[in-house]
Amino acid sequence: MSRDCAEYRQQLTLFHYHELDAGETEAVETHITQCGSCERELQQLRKLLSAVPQTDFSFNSAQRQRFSEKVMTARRRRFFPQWGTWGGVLAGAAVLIYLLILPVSTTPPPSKTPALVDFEILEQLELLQDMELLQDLELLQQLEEAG
Amino acid sequence: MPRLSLTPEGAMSTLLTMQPQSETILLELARNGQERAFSQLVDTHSEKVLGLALRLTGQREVAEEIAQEAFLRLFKSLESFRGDSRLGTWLYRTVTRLAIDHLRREKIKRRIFFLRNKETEQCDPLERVADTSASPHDILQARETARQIQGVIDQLPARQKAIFVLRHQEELPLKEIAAMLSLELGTVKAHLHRAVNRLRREFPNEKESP
Repeated sequence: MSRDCAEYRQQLTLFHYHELDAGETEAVETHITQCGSCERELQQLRKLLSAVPQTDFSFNSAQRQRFSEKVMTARRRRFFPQWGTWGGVLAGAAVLIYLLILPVSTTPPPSKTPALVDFEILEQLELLQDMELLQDLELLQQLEEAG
Repeated sequence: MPRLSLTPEGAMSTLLTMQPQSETILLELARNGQERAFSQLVDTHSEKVLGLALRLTGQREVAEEIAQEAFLRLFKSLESFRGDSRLGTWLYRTVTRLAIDHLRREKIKRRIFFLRNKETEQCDPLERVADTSASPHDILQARETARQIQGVIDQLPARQKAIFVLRHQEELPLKEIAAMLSLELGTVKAHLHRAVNRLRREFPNEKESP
């Protein structure tokens, strides 16, 4: 196979599909009339490509109608969701948000927590103890004065 | 593109009896919320769009999903679709891209799970086109050859397969395919060349089908 043949064979696919420009097409045509080997190569290529299955897709009007309906249903679902479907979800979400936020936003003014009450009682007890101590001191002074 | 003032139902019923030249008007009506107009567009293009998706994926269910997704994307893009390309071309481009994505994902899945391509799911178009004068042996041989060829086509890289299908089966010019896939013409030619070379390597002495 000459170098020319190799170059022409590179072009056979595009030649088969009529994708070469006019000059290239003419050159290939001229070559294959003079070269039996390249002509056979082209024939082989054409036989192979003619055996490629053609997926003939038949689609009758009923099937077309069914497909159109399917698309339209999918369109409504995706772009126009029904409130009936989302209403429950939104209502649930609203209730959840309300429950989560409400305790924070409606927190009553600071009130005495049990811990705070306990602390105050302790303070009072300490005061009472202080008072008792003072009373004891006064008693001691009185005893000293009395001699 | 200026907006048309066609909105009444009367105009709609007239359009439904018209041929594809009414496409621009149908698009405008669909933009204005006319459900029937969009439905009519789907109906007009569904056969070709489904056919392409089926040729690219080889599976009817998948083809329907891809075709549906293409129409849904069209609906989403109605506002921005101003007819720079024909609607058919736009849909072909979308289907091809979706199918390429699907084929790539499938290939990855097959690699991950070590699954072989389900050749039994491939349709057998030769059954419909077989020459009735051929002998049963020849018919069987042709079917087997077609099955094997389809198997090789299915193993091509996704973009290569898409370009081969678009050129060989959809008979689209390579220039149009290049524009559709936003590729250089030279790249598209190279992909086609590689796809055909792969077939030639796999079937070096292909006999003529009956």
